[in-house]
Amino acid sequence: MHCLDARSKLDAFVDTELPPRELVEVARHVAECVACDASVKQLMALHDAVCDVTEADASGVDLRGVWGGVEAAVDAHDASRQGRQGRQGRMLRRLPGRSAPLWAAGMAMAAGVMLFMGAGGDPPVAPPMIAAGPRMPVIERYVGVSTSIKKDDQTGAMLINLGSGRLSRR
Amino acid sequence: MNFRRFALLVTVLIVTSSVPATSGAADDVTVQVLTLVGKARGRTDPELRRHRSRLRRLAGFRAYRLVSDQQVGCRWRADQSFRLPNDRWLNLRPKRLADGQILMRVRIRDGNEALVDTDVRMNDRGTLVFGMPRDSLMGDGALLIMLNAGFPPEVRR
Amino acid sequence: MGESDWDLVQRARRGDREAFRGLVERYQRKVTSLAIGMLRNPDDALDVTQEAFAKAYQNLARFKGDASFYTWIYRIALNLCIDHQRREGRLPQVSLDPLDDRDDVPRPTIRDESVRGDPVRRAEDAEIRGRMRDAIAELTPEHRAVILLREVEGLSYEEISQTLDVPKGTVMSRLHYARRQLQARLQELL
Repeated sequence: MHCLDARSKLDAFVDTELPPRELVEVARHVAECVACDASVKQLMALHDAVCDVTEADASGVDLRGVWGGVEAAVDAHDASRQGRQGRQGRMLRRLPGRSAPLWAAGMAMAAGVMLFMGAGGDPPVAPPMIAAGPRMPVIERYVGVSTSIKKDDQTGAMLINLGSGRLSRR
Repeated sequence: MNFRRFALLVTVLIVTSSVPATSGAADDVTVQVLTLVGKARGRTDPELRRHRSRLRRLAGFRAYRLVSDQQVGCRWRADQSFRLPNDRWLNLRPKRLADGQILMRVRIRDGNEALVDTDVRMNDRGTLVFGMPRDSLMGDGALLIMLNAGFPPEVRR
Repeated sequence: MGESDWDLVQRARRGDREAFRGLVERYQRKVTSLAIGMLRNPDDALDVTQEAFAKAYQNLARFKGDASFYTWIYRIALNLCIDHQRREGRLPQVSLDPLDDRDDVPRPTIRDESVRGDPVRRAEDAEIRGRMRDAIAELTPEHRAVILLREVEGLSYEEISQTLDVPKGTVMSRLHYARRQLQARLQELL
């Protein structure tokens, strides 16, 4: 095999990507050619150096929080896909037809009692109809220092910056 | 008392007792207050890993360190106070449910000065972050207060 | 041995969150390692890792199984790395013109012996490592990606081609160019 020919295949040779016949031909050439042998050694040393530096940078990286972050995004995705709006309160059962007048009177009485009881106190809190998914906080009233607001549409989070100027320089 | 009146009375009792006046859970709302320092350089504490992307998009810092993590359960209309660094206070009062969100009054005081007094509506597991005014103690960083509000698991079901 | 990636994907599609968690835990280190190589910042790399898996979850229905899960997640992560760098404005200013492939280009002689225990040699190794990092960072994202996928992740040319969605010939020419760039950049050290 000609040196020029072999040299064009050295990357694939080192990566074991050559078909078997070419692999053998190049291997034979490398065994006989000092320059090509040196090139192969350098490619392998480069491989070791790249792996070394990448492993050094990756070692000690704490992966513990990764699933937590993924799960938060999974939650948001599932919630918006399913369109959860929370649970409904308990429904009253359907009333038998014969007893309808009796039950209707009872309901009217109950409503009157509730209105009477509720007039002077706090309204009862119904079971929560919960909104979930990435929905932005809503400011209904604000009194305070001048502020800037930043929103993250991806997760529905909001930042209220109470300081002046940008929080950080990127 | 005749039978009809007795039936009406029983009906009233049954109907009124079936309408819940307050939530059956011990707490109506849970609130988590994370006090963080955002920095231009350095590593992020493992406990904050899951928040880093979001904080980065909001506040822009590359690294976040946890100062404190406080979590409490609250009843509607009950005040909860949290101490913040540098003699500041955070006061929360979950007011009620509004349009499916938790309506909450949030006040932050710096000594005797009120920095903010706001009513805000937040989703279940919603997040609101306050960036505090810079001070020399933080160096090139900034103090952030992260509120996560939500319903207790037994309510969320 | 555990379930295959495809089985986990199928279960995750049916709403089995633990199955998806299994995929995350199986590949998070590899994806993070790749992202660190691309971005050089562990925190940014962890962000990209989280976003890559989140995106994979959102698009599970589109994963057909014609490529392996890991080439798919690598592609998502690499695209996010490139997007991240564009946002940060840190794309290296390097020409894409190929080096002359002439015999008289000086050939670097990278030391291939590793020495442990000698503080002077360790300091020298640390310097070489730093220069290697800089050299990798100076590659364009496309060239950096092929180097990392080949040298670190050990993917075949075919797998790299699927990951990057480019022809195999392009993979080979980028790899050749990237290797020559790194060798030329490091020659003065050696």
